[in-house]
Amino acid sequence: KLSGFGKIIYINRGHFNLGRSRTVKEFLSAAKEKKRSFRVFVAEGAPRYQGHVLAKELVAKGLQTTVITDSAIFAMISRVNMVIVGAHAVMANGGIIAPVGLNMLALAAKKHAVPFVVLAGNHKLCPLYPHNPEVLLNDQKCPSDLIEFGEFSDCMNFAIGDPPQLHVVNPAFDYVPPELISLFITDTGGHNPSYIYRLISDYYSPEDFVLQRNLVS
Amino acid sequence: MDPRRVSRTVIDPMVRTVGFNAPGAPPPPQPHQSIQSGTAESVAGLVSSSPPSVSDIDPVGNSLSPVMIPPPNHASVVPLPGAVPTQMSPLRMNDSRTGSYSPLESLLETLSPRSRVNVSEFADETTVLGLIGKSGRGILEKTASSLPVSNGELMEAATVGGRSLRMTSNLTKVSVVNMPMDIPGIEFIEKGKGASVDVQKERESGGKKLKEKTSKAERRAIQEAQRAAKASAKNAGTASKNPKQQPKIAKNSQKKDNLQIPSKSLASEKNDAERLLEKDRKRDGSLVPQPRMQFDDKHRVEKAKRRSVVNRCEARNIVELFRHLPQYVHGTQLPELESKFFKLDAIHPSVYKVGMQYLTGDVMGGNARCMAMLLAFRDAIKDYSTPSEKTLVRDLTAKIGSYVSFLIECRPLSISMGNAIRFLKNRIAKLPVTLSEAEAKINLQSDIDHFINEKIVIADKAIVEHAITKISDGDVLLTHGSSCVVEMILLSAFEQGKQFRVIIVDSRPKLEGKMLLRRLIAKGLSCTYTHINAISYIMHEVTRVFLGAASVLCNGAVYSRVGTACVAMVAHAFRVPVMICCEAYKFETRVQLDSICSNELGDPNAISKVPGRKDLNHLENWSDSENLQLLNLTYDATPSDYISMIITDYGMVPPTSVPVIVREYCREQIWI
Repeated sequence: KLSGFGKIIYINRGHFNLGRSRTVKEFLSAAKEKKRSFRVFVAEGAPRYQGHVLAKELVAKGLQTTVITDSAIFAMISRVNMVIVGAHAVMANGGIIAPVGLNMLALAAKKHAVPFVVLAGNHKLCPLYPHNPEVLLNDQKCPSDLIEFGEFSDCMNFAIGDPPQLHVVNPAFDYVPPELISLFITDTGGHNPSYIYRLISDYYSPEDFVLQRNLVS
Repeated sequence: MDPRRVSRTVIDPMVRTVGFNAPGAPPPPQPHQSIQSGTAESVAGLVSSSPPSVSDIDPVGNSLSPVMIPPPNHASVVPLPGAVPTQMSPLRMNDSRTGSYSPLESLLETLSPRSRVNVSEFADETTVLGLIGKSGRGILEKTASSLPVSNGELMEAATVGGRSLRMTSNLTKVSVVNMPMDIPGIEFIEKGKGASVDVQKERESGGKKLKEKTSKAERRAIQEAQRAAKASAKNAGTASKNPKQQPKIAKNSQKKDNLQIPSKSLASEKNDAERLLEKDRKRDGSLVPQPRMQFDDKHRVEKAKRRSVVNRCEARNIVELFRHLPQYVHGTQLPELESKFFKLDAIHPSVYKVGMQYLTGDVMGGNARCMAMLLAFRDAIKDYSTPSEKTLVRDLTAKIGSYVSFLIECRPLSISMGNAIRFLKNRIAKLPVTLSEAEAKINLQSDIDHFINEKIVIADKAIVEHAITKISDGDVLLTHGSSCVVEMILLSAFEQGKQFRVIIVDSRPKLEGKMLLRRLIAKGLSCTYTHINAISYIMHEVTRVFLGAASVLCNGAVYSRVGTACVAMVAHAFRVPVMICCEAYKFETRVQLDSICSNELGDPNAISKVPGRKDLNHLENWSDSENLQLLNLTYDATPSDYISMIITDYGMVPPTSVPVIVREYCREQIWI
C-alpha cells in the first residue's frame, strides 16, 4: 500500500515513533522484511501510552525496540537517524494534526537536523487551512487521565470560587507546522509538505477548496 | 608496559613541532651532525641519529630544570641554564644554532648523574601522583600545585563527586600523560645521550637496565602488595574509597611506578594496592570522582563485582547506547543491604539511614540529598574517634571515603553531593596538625554547618530575592517537575501579593509535579497541571519559565531532570524567557554536550508500570523478550542556547558566565 517507502534507506540506528499508528507499524514491519537492520525508539506517549502497545507489536515482529519516556525525547534524539510518525490529519498547507507531543518532537528533530517523516494515507488529507489549530482543531480529553479527582480533592480549597484553583489540561492533538516536516509518505509516494495542496484536488471537489462567490440567481 | 612507547606517542608531536616551528630546527641537527662526524663513524649514523638528536633537544631540556616543570602541553621545554640545544622555541633554537655543540657535549657528559637525579625527581612527582589514589584532595592539591597542568582544573577534577569527574578523566589523563613526558625525558636522556650512535647505544642500554631493574623489583613489590590488599579486602567489608583514577590512568601511573627507584616503592606500593582496590570497587562507583569506570569492559566489571559490598545482578536487556553507565537493578539491593547492616559496622547508622532513603527514593532532589548526606556525615564525625596509630586526617578521610562509596552503591552521587564531599575532604585535609581530636571534630562539624547554611539555605534566599524581581502581576509562570528553589520562589512571590498563575508540567515516570502541585494548592495558588506532551499547547499562554537544575556545567549546559530540555526548547521556540535557578555550589567544571555520555539510569520497571492504570499492562513481561529494552533516564542536558538567564546566589547571570563564577568564586571558597 505504501509504495514510497522502498526508497528510504535505513541505517542501523534508531528511529523515533510517537504514540502509535497502524501505518507506522506496517511501515516498519515491511522494512524489516526487506532485511534492513535498524533499531526503533518508541516514546510512550502519555497519557494514552499508545507507545507501549506499539512497542509490543514491534517486538513481536522481531524489531529491536527501546521504550523511552516522552521527557527523554530531547536526550535521545541526537542518536536517532530518522523520526517516523503518523498523523491524525494532514492540512492543506502541509501541516499536520498529530497526537499530542509531536510538536515537541518535531522541534527537537529540527534542532538536531533529523528528518521528520510523516506517514499518512491520502484519506487523511484535509482541505482546511489551520487557523489557530491548537484551539480550533483540538480536542480536550478527560483530565482524569492525568489526575484522578480523588487525588486532589482534599487539598483544594473550595472557598475560592471562580476561577477554580486547579485546572487540568489534557489536549489530544498537536499541530506541527510544515516547516518542521521533512517528508510526507502517502499512498502515492513521497511528497514535500509544500506539495500537499496539489493533492487536494484529487480528493475533494472544487467546491470544497476554492473560494468563489455563490452566484445569486 | 613499555613506558617508552607511551611516551613516544606524546613526544613525537613535540618533535614535529620543533621541526616546523623553529626556523633554526634544521641547523641544530647540523652541529649535532658535526659532533657526530667528529666523534662517531658513519654517515648512516648521522642520518639515523638526526631524529634522535632532535629529540635530544627535547629530553635534554626536560632533564634540565628539576625545579621548573615544563608545561605539559607545551612543546617548548625549559632550557638548561647555560646549555643550549634544549628548546623548542625558535629563540632558543637560534641560540642552539650558534653555540650548540660544546654545551651539548658538556651536557651529555653530565647527563648520567643528572638523569639519576631527575629520575628521583620525577619519581617524586609520580609518587605524589600515586598518592592521589590514596588520599583525597589534600594531597592532590599539593601535586596540582607542582604540576603545571591546569592546576585548578586538576584539583577540581579530583572530586569525589559523581558526574563532575568526567572532566577529571580528561584532565587527569592529560596530566598523567604529561608526566610520562617528563619521564621519557629520562629515557631519551638515556637513550639519545650521545651525539654519537655509539654513546647512544651505551647509554640506552644503561638506561634500559636502570629501568628494568626498578621495574622488576617494583613489579614484585606491587604484586605482593596486591595480594595483601586482596586478602585484606576480603576481610574488610568495605575498602576505602578514594578519588579514583580511570583504569587507564591507573595503568599509566603503574607504568610510571615502574620507573621509580626501588626506594620509593614502599610508598607507591600501598598506593598501587589501594588504587587497584578502588579500581575493582569501581563497578558500583561508576560515577565516582575520577572518570567513571567504563562498564563496557567485562573484565573490570567482573573484577569489581567480586569486591562490591552490594551484589548487583546483571541487568538484562541493556540499552546499547548506555552500556557505559551502571545499569539499574533495584529490587535486590534493599534486603541485601539490610542484611549486611550488622556486618558493616564500618558504616555509621545515620549514613546508613541516608543511603536507605536514597535507595527507596524518599529523599530526592539535589539540595535535599546533599543536606541529608552532610548531616549524616556530621553525626558520623561527632561519633568518630581516631584509632590508635593513625592520624585523624588520613583515617577520617578514608572513613568518609568509605561512606561515600556506600552511598554510591545506593544511588549514584549527584553533583551537589560531589561538591560537598570535596569540600569536606578539603576541610579535613586542611585541619591544622596542632588541633586535638575534639577540637578538630568540632571544627569540622561547624564547617559542615556553615556549608549548609551558606551554600544552601542562604543561597536559596538570595536566589528567591533575585527571582522575585522577575515576576510581575498577570504573569503565567511555567515550571517542570518539582524544584525546591522554584517552589520557594513561587511561594514567596505569592506571599508578596503578586498576582500570577502557575502551570506545572509533569513527566513520567517520577511525576514529581504532582507533589509540587499539592503543596502549591495548599497555599492557595491557582495552578494548571499538564503533562509534558502538552507543552506546545500550553506555551502560548506562558510568560516566563522557571526551572531548577541539578547542576550547571561549564559550557553553559544545564544538567537537570529529564524533560527540562524539552521544556526549554519549546519555550525558546515560542520566545518565552527561560530562567534556571541554581545555587552556585552546584556548578561544575565539567562540560557536556549531550545527555548520553553521562547520565543516571533509573528503574526500567517504572516505565512499564503506570500507577493507577491497571489496564496498561502491555509491557508487563518486558524482560522476557530480548528485543525490547526500557530506558529510564534520570537527567538530561539542556543546551545553553535555550537558556535566557541563570539565577544564582551570586546574581543573575547568562549561561556563559558559569565558568567565570566557578573560577572566581569557587576558588575563594577554598573548596578546591
